[in-house]
Amino acid sequence: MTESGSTAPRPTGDGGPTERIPHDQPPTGADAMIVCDRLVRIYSGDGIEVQALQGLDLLIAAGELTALIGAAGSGKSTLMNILAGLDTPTAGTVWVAGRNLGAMTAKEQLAYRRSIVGFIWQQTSRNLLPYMTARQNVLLPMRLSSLGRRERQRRAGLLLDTLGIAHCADRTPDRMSGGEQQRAAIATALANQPKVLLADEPTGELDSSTAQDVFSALQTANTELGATVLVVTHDPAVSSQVRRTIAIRDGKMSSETIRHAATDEQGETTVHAREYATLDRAGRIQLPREMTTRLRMRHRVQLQEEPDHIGVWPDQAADQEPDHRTPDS
Amino acid sequence: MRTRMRTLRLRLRAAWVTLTGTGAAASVAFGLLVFASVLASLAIPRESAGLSNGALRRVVAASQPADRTVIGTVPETSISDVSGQVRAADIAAVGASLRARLAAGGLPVASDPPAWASLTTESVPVTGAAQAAGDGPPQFELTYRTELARYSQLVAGRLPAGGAQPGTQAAVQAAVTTATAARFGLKVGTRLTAGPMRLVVTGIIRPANPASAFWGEDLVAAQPLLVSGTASQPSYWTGAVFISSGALPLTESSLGTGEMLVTWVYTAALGQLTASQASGLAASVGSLVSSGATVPDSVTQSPVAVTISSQVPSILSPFVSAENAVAPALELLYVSLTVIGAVVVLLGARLVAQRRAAEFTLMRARGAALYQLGWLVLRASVVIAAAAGAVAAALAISLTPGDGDAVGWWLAGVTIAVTLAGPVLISVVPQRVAAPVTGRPERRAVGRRPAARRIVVEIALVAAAIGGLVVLRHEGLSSGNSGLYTSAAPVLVAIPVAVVLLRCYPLLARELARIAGRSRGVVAFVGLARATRTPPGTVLPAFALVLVLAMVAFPDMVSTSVTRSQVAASWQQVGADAVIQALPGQAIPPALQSQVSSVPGVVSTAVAEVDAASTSSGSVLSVMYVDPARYAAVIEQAPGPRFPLAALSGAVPSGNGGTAAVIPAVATSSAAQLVGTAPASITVGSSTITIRLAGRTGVPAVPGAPGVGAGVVVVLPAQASSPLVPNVMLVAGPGLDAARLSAAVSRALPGASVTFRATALAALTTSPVPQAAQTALIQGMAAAAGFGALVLLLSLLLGARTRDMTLARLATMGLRRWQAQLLQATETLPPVVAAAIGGVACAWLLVPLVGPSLNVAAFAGTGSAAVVAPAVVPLVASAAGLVLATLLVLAVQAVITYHRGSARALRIAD
Repeated sequence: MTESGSTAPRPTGDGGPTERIPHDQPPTGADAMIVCDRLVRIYSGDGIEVQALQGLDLLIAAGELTALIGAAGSGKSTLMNILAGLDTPTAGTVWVAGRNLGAMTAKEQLAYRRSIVGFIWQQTSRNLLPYMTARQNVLLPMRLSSLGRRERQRRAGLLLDTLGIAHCADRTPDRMSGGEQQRAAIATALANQPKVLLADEPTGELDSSTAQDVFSALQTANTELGATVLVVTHDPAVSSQVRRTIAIRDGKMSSETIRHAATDEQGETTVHAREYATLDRAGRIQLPREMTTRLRMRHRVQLQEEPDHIGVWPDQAADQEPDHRTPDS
Repeated sequence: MRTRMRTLRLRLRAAWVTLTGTGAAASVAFGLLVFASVLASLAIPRESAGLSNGALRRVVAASQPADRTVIGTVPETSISDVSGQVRAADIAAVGASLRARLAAGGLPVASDPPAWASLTTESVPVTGAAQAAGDGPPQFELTYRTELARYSQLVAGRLPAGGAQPGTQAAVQAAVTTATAARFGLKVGTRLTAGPMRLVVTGIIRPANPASAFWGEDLVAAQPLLVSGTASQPSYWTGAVFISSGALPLTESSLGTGEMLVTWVYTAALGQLTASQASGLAASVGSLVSSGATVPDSVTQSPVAVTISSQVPSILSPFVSAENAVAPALELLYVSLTVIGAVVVLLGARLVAQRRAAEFTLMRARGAALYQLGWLVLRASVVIAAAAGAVAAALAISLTPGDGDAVGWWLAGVTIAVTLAGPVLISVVPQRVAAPVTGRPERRAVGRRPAARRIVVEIALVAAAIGGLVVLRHEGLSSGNSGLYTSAAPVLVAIPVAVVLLRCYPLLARELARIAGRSRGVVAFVGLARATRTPPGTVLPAFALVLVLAMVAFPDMVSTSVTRSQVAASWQQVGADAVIQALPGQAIPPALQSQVSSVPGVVSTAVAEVDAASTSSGSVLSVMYVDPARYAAVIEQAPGPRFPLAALSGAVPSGNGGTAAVIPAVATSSAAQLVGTAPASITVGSSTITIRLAGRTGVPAVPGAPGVGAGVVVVLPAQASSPLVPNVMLVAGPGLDAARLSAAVSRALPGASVTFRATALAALTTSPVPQAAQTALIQGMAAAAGFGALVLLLSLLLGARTRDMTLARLATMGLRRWQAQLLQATETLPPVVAAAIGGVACAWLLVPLVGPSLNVAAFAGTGSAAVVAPAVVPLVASAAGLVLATLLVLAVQAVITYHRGSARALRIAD
């Protein structure tokens, strides 16, 4: 796999963490901002258990802007809530900014929510307190963490300016557009200078041009304010603009797309995207469904080891003759 | 000006929104609920205290002025100086000391009418006054009185003045009342000789206020009395003459001081006395009466024992004991009302918490600590509690009389405490764990801990409530003070009832839903299926409704028992709706009988002969000869067992053949004790008859019949007396025309008395304490009913959003409007009906648990033993009222939802 020069170097090899991360000490690698190790989250309701996360591994470096995609119920929101400190995994460990989220006391959790992580939810109306102006909303997290008055005001002004919503500072959410509301929500989430900014479908309720504004705001947060940004999205326009897109299926990472821009001799820049399947610690890979369906791969496949790759073949005894070869794993 | 007002209004609104956040509107509702609760917990006890005070005023006003005094008496010798003399100044000085002593003993002394003192001699035979033939010489007491001029009007001459020193022969000036002057032929200038003293009448006076203690305290002061003579002594008249202070030395030296008494009379200031002070005053006056007062002598400063007498305790004691009997029932009501009020406040707090939940979840997710959220909520609660509490208190103080009674303030304090603590707990506890901001109900973590915890909490609650009941009952019975037990009992009974109710309800509702599921209609099934879900937080409304219903039904049962007891007492007192009694020797003529029968409203009549009789052992009773069937018809409406008509039916044995006829008779139980069960001979007038008790009657025929006390009456068939001389006529007719009946009787039989049961009943129902207590009960019940409506409204409001949503969704599927309304009713009514059943059960349980410690007799003012009896009507009525109120609220909600349209409900749901 290739690395893009523009982003931080990957701490581990192909497609994700492949080495076991100890539970009692921070993960190795100074740049690892988010490390999930075999995360499991089980919900139960009315006697039915739902496994939202089924051993998810994830590693995100500091300063990355990463998109997380997946079908409804794939576990994206669960992962985001766990990372936000609003939910606890049933099993597995998760480290964010050097903190083991599972081992934090209530006080540490509070401090974590105040200053390590910022969150933006999909529903624009739920991100801001409706009776407060944009400025007051931005000030609120700082007041909660008892930041000095002058510093509060300075930071709020700076954030509103940076995100291009200074004109909305004294408006309540009902007098702001959806895009302005979400940008104010980003400003609020960034108020305490968090290291990680989590956004759960922040553009889900917006039209495409407004969504672009909001995404630009997230990019600003990433590039200008230095926050590591993880954004859940269904919007191809958003996922196509980030360098790294992680797909989740059935509570596990299924694949990852890395984009990098290349400039040719004429000076034209083209973006190349390459999709990788994720190889987990046990050596499992998840084959994309469209490929398995087309090749009628069910239950069993045949592997063929070659000097530089492994070939995967449908089970010929059970199925008809293969007419295509699978791509590299 | 207008702009400034507008700015102010906008600023206030902004401040309110900052304070209450997303719950601004709900907080207004919460404030109103706090207002209502504080008002109820403060105003109702105050109003009741005012009613008690009013009752006390009526009791005091009905008493004789002379009975409202406190009288101190000493022999003249105990305060006289070395020469055996008492001067006016000495009387005044000791009087002032006594007054101070009384005040120190807790007696408020009225300044109007003014206190007065007297020095009175024994009665002395007088010559010079008119004397009837055959009478002995009249006797006069000489009395010096302070304040004579204030208490009398001069008719002729002038008031006595001037002095007369011992050893002189000067005539002592005296005044007499007009009645005394008339009796003894006295005029201004008449000279009298009283033993060694000479008197001259200088003034004739008339009592200025004859009813006052000044004229009532000494029987002969205002008018003379005839003292009946004995074999050795003829009758004689006795009266009083008033002398001046200057005549005291001569009087004391001439008549001897051995029998002279000095008296000070103070009027107790009962006009401003409150009900709560009455028992203290009765006790302190009682202790003064029993132990007397010691005051320093004006000259020697040696202690003087003053004998105190007063009728004040006898005025106050019946009131105090009636009040004490009534108090537990009212306190029971107040405590329960306050608890209901607190639940209403908590429901309001939940409404606010529900509205602010999303706000707090967001803040928590953004890093708010629990104490920061708690402070936010508390800040709003403090403002609401302060504003609503202050307005409620001001209103309660201005509208209700009260008397500084602490109960109301304590109860209001409890409500305020709940207002401050409740919202914080209700809002903050769900935020203990920070949660994602989704707006979807939270998915629960693995495990069955909540269910187990609920069972533990419920068992603990039930055990604590039952334990509390047992302990308090034991304590109350052993210490004789069951006030706390009675007050807390309804709440303690309502807790297990509500818990059992909430446990049984889902099972029943599920069964109903299962049955409904088999039928074709969708409405019943969906409604009942929704009704089976008891979302968390239904405990409070269920508990409150159970308590509300109990607090409407139980006082209603008390009230019904009181009324029943009063009606029974009126029958005991009168014996029929109207009783006409002829004077001894008179008979009621047939013409009058037919006139009475034709008086409007008269249903039936019975004439009877009532005679005094005596048993062989000498006990006196009275017998009534009456036609049993007619008598049974007259007392048909009387409470208690029916008249045993069958026992008296059949012909009276003729008595021929030498043996005395045995007449079957019916008696009251007290008469039956005198007669015995075996055939007994009784003497009626000059003849002797033999009777055999064949039955008992609960109604004493003609209480107060000649020769016997009330209730001792034997009823005999009319044939037993021949011929019947009717001297009593009993009339039945609950709505009879009393005026025309009285007129007919007085025309046909002057002197005959007519007694109406309605009059006796009215006297009982309008007597001060029972009337005040009944009014207080009704007010309390009304407040409970009002709270019930609030609880109902709030619990329906708390579920309104999801109900609207369901209805809107079903409307999009083609549910018709009437079906929607039916659905709402099917969904809402089962829990309300369950609460109604719980309330009825609670009230029913209270009858045996609390009933015995309530003194219904004192409540009714009847004095006869009575207990709270379970009554079906109040229970059914209150339960039906609850169901009707629910339907009403639902109808209103249905109309509102219809006008709002289903689109809005669906949008809100998202």
